[in-house]
Amino acid sequence: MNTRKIIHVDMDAFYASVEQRDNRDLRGKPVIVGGTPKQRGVVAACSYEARKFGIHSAMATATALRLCPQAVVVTPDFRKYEEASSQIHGVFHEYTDKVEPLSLDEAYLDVTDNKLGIKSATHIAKEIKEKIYERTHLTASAGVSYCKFLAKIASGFKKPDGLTVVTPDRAQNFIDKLPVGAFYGVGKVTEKHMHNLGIRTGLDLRKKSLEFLKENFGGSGEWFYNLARGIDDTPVITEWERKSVGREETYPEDIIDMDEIKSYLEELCFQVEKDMRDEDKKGRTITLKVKYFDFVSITRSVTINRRIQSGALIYKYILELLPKTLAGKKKIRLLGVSMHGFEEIPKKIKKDQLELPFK
Amino acid sequence: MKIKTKKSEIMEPLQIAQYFISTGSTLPLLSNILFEADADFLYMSATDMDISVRIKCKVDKVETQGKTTISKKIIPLIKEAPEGDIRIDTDKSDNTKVTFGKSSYKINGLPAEDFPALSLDEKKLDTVKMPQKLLKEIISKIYYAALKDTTKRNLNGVFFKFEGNKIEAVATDAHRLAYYKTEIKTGVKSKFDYIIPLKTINEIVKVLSDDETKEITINFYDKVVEFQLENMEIVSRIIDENYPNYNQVIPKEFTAEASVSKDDLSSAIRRASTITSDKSKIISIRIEKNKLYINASAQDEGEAFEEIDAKYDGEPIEVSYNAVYVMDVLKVIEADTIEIKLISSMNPGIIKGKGNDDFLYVVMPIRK
Repeated sequence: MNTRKIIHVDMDAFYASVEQRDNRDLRGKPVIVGGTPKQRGVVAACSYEARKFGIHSAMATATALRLCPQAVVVTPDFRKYEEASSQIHGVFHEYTDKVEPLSLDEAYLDVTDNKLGIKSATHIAKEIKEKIYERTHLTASAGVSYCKFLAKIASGFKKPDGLTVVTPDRAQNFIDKLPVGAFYGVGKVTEKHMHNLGIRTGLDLRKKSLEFLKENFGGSGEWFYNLARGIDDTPVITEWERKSVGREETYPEDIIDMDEIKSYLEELCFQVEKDMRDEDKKGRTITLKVKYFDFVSITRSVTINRRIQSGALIYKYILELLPKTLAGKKKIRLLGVSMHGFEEIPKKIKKDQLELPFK
Repeated sequence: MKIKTKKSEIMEPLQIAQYFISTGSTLPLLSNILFEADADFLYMSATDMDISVRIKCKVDKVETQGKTTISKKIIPLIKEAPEGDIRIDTDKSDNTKVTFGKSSYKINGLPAEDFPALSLDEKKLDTVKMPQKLLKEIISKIYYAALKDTTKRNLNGVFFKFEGNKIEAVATDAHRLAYYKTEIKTGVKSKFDYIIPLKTINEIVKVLSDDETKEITINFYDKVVEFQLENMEIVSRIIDENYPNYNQVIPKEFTAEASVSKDDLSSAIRRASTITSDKSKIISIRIEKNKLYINASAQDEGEAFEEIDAKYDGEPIEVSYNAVYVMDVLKVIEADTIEIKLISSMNPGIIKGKGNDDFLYVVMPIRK
């Protein structure tokens, strides 16, 4: 497989920077975007000036103000952030449609085959940063590497306004020095567990055998084993690919009769099949949604080992999920069937069909 | 306009006109058929502004000469009418009365004067005559390979090159290419080429006759081309773009040349492609000493394996193709034996009928 070219773009203190951009008085000052202490609010974002005082996001605003009483608290204005975000996405899509947004201010881009045919991902990252600044007057940090894991770590390396490239030959050295807390999938608990086992850096992690890691971290063991070796094949998944396909129906009268429920579900299953056909998709996760007369709503899902499209098959799995609900015992006002876990194959095949070498 | 006719006289011309009526046009006039009656004949015309047809139609009697346009609703109406006499009678405000048996219908129309026509008033550049059967043969052998959408406009048609008595015709969607060359008795004076839109080709092929004796005349203008058949004229815009240099992608030298029975190969591929996924019909072909193997698999479906006797005496070679592309050409080759000529799993390969060098098919592999 060819080496992929992945860019992780992360806006610098996004919400706070938007507020500072739009309000001259806030520039150079510690700014907290979030709820007020009165509302028992938390910090959604804060400017770099505020971070110097130890303020970070998700902290209670009241605590933040104790650390830095002179900080200005601004109520978030998501309309402004969304507008900037869509400008930023406009820049991304000039280069590639393989964009996986993580939030309003953060996204992965796969620029291996980009629209402009630019070979250097570093060059693209540089242009993206420049265009974002031109259009939004906001700065972004970017990380460039051959996988999502390293691209993301790289973008956080020189913030703000940074650009860090981790080439495959430098990757191992880079990973070896990383604290384990930086690894994707290592949260607070796992980090502590690792520390207790004497694993503090990427190098420590790499020295452990696969069996050891599986024993201590279960299913994640192999993932950590691979990450320590710079192996991360997770694809950049666009929003379109992630989207689910589903149908639901609110019935004019609450239903309790099982035969009636089943026939409605069967109908929904075939509608979902049709939607998937239209979008040329096959899914492996089938979800049943039931909303009872009292508006309590539950979902039950099953993931199978192959991808399906047939309404009859979806219905078969829905019938298996049905006993996990109170259908027939409690009146139902809404039923829904949805599918996800789609494959990306169609696009890939097209790419691999070679073209006649016209000049 | 007032005419007396029979269902048998006008049904077929109406159905031909139907191919050419614009679908989804915002101009109401384009969903109509233009009827013109002179002393001897009725003429029906239809157009979507890219292609138009004018069909000459013999009727029982033209009682009053004149012209009008009639809604395409007349087609299903006549189709449902019983065999026998039909009267078509148009009043001054272009409303047409259609009567047969004890039935009487009124269909609203629009004035004939506004009906658009593709104009031929530029200078005719050249003209060529050939048997309809030959043109049908050329088109049927290649047109399925043309690009079906307009992402590359120049490929959304069939390319014709005329030089003296020689004709070359090509269709490609950039993944595969079909090439046909032939000669005609009376050629053209000069040398020129045209890309005829696929839409036009699709309609032309429907009206061409298999009768050896029937001829078609093609008149070439600067921006349009006219096809004249004995009872109809079709005028089409051409695609005014450059066609890619196809000679350069038709390989001339090969590392592997095998021959195999057409029937064996097509039935094996048809079977194997049942095990490919709906979207990507990938089959792998492996040729070894006197054997050809076909392998297909789909992640969630299963695996196919076929073995066929072949004539081959070279190094083993393996290449993957979209099964649809291979089947397309196998359907139109008449020879019993197929020749497959390859260079590598990444280069264009040739598929052709043994003993016929006038038609060949170039197909690009799928990278495995």
